[in-house]
Amino acid sequence: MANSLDAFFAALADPTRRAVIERLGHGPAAVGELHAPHDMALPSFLKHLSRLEAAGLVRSEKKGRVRIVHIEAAPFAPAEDWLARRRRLWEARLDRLQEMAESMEGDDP
Amino acid sequence: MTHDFQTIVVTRDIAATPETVFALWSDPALKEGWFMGGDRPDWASTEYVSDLAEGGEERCVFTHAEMGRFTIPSHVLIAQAPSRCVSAYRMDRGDTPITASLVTIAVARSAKGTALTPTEQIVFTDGGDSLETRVPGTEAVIDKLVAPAEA
Repeated sequence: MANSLDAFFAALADPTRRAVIERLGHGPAAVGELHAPHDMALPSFLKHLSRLEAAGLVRSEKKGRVRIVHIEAAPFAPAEDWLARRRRLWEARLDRLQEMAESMEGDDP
Repeated sequence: MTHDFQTIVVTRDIAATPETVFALWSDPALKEGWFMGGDRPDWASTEYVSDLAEGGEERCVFTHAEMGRFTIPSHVLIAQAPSRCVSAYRMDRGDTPITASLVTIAVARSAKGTALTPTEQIVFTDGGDSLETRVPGTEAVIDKLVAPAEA
């Protein structure tokens, strides 16, 4: 799990790659469409796509002359879980704090 | 290098006085009871050292079955009984800092007794072993964390 999280965060450590993931969250897109908003040469952009694909965050398929890129949902689950864990930790701790506070004073604060 | 900020706000309305609730934050023996306890099968707590007076230091170590050792050094910046406590802490996974946070505990009198509102402002920091940062970079991921916090 640690290794997959490392790969996940490393792949998302770049603003271009994050922008691609954000765009793909709205649906699959052609490489040309993904490249259009970015002020960089296509070969450089393709390296970013390769990085995302190698990390398992996206997959692509050729349709005729166009390559369509899709987001892969599965890799996001452990990271989301890792973030949500911080909040669940708070909730669990405050549940115990509340129980202790109320038992220290009985029903009449 | 990028920095990614998140805020978690949690609230509780507690049938106890602000003095009791504040004591549960600031008395190390009381705090250990709720802060380190609980039934979390994947986690073991291996160390808890605490001085919760203003300027004091707190340090806890947790070990997770899959993710390894987490060390959490904390520093109490402000302790104003019974209404406010502000502390700063870092979370390290292994030897790598992964987050740094400012935690503000607001304790206010309420109709039920005490309104307790901890707010954690987190920055996800550099991964430590390269110039790349390990931030949760997508809005979708961030929204899922922040939305319930703001609900």
